Amino acid sequence: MPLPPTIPFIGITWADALFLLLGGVVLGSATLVVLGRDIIRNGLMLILTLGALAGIYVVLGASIVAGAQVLVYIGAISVLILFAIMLTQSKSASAQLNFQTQALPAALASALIGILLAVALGATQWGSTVYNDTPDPAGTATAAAVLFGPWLLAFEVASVLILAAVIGGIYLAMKPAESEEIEA
Amino acid sequence: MSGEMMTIAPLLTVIFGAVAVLIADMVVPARRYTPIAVALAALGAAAVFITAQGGGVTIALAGAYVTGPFVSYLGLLGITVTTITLLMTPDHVGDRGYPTAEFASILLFALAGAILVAASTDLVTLFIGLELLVIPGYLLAGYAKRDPLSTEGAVKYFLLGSFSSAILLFGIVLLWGSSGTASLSGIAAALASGSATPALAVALALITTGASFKIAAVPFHYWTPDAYQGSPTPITGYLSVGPKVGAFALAIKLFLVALAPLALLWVPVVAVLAAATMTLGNLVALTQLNVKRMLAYSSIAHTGYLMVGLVAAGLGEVAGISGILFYGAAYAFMNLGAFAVLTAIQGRPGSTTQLSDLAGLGRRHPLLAILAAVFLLSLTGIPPTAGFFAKAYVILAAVQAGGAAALLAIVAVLNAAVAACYYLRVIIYLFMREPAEPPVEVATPPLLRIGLILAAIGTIALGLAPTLLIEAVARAIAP
Amino acid sequence: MSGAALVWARLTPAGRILAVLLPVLAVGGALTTALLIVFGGAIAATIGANLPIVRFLAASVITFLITVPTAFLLIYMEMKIIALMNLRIGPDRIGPAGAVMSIVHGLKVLMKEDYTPPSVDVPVFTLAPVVVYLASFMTVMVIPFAPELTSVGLELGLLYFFAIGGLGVVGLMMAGWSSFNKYSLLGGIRAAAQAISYEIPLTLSVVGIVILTGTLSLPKIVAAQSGSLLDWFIFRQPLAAIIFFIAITAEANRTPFDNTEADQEIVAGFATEYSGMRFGFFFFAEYVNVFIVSALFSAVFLGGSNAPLVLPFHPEIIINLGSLGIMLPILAGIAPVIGTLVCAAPIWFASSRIKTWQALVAGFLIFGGLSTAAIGFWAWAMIPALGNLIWFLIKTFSLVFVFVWMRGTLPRARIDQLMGFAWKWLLPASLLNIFATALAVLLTTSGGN
Repeated sequence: MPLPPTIPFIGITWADALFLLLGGVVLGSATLVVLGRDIIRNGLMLILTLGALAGIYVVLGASIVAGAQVLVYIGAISVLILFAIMLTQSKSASAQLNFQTQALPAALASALIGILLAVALGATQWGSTVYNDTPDPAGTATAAAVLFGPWLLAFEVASVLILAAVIGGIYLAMKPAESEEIEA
Repeated sequence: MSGEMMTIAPLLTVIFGAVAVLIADMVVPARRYTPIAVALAALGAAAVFITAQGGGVTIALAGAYVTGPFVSYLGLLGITVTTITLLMTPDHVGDRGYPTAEFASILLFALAGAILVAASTDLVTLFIGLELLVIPGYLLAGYAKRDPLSTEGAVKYFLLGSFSSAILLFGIVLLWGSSGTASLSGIAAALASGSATPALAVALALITTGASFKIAAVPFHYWTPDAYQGSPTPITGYLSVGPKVGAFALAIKLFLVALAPLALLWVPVVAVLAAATMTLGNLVALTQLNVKRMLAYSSIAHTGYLMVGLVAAGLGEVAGISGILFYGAAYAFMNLGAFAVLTAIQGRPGSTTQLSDLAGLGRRHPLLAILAAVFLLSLTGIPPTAGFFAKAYVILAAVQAGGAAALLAIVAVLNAAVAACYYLRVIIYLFMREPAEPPVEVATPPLLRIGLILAAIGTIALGLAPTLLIEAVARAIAP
Repeated sequence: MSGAALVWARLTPAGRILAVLLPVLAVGGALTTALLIVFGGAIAATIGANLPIVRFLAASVITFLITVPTAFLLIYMEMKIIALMNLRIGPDRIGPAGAVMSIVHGLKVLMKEDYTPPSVDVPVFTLAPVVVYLASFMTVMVIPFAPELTSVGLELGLLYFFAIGGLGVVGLMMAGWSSFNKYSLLGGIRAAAQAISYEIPLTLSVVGIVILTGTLSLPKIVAAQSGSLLDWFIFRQPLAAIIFFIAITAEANRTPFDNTEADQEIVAGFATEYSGMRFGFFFFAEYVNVFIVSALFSAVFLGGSNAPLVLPFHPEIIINLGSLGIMLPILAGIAPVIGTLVCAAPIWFASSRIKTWQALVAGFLIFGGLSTAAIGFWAWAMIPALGNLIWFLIKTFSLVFVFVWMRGTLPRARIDQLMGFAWKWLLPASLLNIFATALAVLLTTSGGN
């Protein structure tokens, strides 16, 4: 006998259950990123958040986005964040946050915004929207055809944007040359 | 050259120019003027391409990039702003031991972003163009990287700018989700036929917030004073003009094209923000003793005037858009000119821009002082200058729109009177105070002089013969 | 003292374990058999109805189990080959030529004290080896051992491989940081810097192949090389192959790029504070990684499971075992005896000095060898997967040998040279490869339209 389409006793489909599970992981770990005291653990929780988000992409059928998410956000960006923390922090230093004076207002504001968003998004009928230019996420070929078709300009200009950011980043991080040391 | 290549040629020229600047610096390293010359050549080529397009509507890349009079106008304005900035800056940063190549390259990238914002037809390209416009701004704000003030300003600008980008992006995503398309005109069509949902209201709120950050409207202006004060003076001049005009191009695209069907929802909010921005910017500017910081608050106030035009346009008054466009050009000339004067009096590295530093400039350097007076009078809005007509058009548009917009026009006029106080106070210092001892060292290298003269010509010419630009503006907004 | 207690007291520890285990196994086996007989039909039906899920679970379990003997084999290869290169004997005590040595090493690691230093960040310290091993094992799942033997034939196999492969470094950084030790921290930071730098040329170097094949699926990339030897991508993309090889060497932290655990410099890098089986996880993961990158290289560049030469004839041997009926068990019982006697007879007759038992042993060995060869040939002819698998493993283990060879030969690169090489040489070279490939494809296909 095949598996039933919905989970017994709960009555939601397996995909929905997976989505809820991953969404719970995203929310929980994201909360821990904000609330945690140990900055490295916060970074690791961030990785968990991004990973669960990639899982949600897979559940929704966008596996290319999920792969890129893991490759870029976990494999590169999060690792670089951890790298920077490890280079600059000392584990023997105090784990207390030094400038944390607005935790309560921030918590209230984010809770308010969260409730507002949840109510507003929950009250909206999304089913009535017709999506015109959303590609079929089935395979690499369709994604590539969309990326290099209607979205070619955005795709290419994104690389220009990154180039500009890299140039600026290198400039800011570069050690000054000898001739530049004549600071007044 | 094929038609499509011709259409995107200005954008490509600017981007390749930015790369060519760095290559030139690699071939002949550490020259102060070589990168500037290459960048100016690229700007000239881009201007030629835009002129050659003749303002006709052309479409490239499957409709992702559409040029027309609007794009040509903003492109030429951006090229002008970039040119004057390129002329003002090299000696200032060069004397302080910073290279000019990276500056010129980053500036050209920002210009490419501005052109892209103007020419984009969908939310994705629009957002990427906006980021290409503002991310170079963060880097330029921190360009004096050994100066803690510059770094502090850059960090504040970067953090708040990133947050605002995220907020804007969230709004854009909800807008896309509500309308089902990323095309600006498609969104307008979908919104016109559909009903307003709660998600759409949230999207509107987020987009308004994000855009307000970008144009530095009260209460989202906190980054402005620090970022403007910390940056090297000529770069502050650019930051107060380039990203602002670009962000208003974004606002026109988002609010007046995509969100036009929802005008009744956002116009009141923008009107309140405009009034608050004008008033707070001017009142705080009154108390500033540092001229750079004062001009920072004054630029916030000018944001408010520009938003008056947005409100008028939102109420269906086409003159509002032309007011914004004209104001953008006038503001570019007069504000860049004012900062060019400040650059000149900071001849020696490490010199400040306190109000007292300007005392008695009229006696020692009469020509510079007169130019400063012209720019300040124009910023105030005194008749024979560009600033007068700019304010006049915007306020007139608001009056024509009628209703609450007329009330906003009254607020704008009152604010102009308040603004006169602090602008005129600087002029008093310039001409009626004893020079400071020891006197400030003024340096006007040739490039800076050219920049000053260009800004002055623009300010005066637009004041004497505003019709020159009015026609171009009228073409730009013609449907 | 009762008799049972007396017997128990005289048993060795191993005997006591057996004495407990055997009854449990017997009862458990009987119960399982009974359950199978009663519910067998239902279970079979359930499995049949959910074949994809069952197949996935089975493939995962098998893949996970395969990693352990693979690691044992590689560790032995490393010990023995480097010893031979160093003119030493190497392991020779346990098993033939010391072949069981690495398993004993594994047992040793299991039995060592699992010590957690007091100052470590306990959860992170505990999870780090798991993350590292998990990343290794999850990448094995997409390796196309043969067209029929790929546990998960993902459409995005290559992307998945690089994405999951990048997770391992997170575990290394976790280990480095949580150990609260300068050497560990250095190892973790080095691992991160190295992994990030080399992941870029690694990923970019295969883009040329993706352009040529138009797919990210590993089985399809292997299929694209199925023609002659010259269809292998190592000949069509030689620059990419060189870049890829250097980059995987760095990704697997192998000499000359083993700076993350350079024992002369930073003790053992991220693994300094680890002991017992937690160290074992790192150790195993390292060797599994060597196997994985070798397998990936052979799949992407060496034609994977494709044979370098296609035989001009294809033998077909059809034996219908079922037709033998009752004779099958009788034959299976008698054939070895007769075969041994037949093979022993000539030896026994050849010389009177050979004793009978010696002739019998020799005959048994000869018959065993012959029958193994016959069955092997039959299997190779009848089951294409086996031939493919053998080719794949030959290629993979040749590469593993190269890695071991490099470890025995090359000195370690300095960390700054390592980083500079990645960014200044490999990255531009891989970009050049992409552009050259794209240009070539454009030039060769643009004539059509």
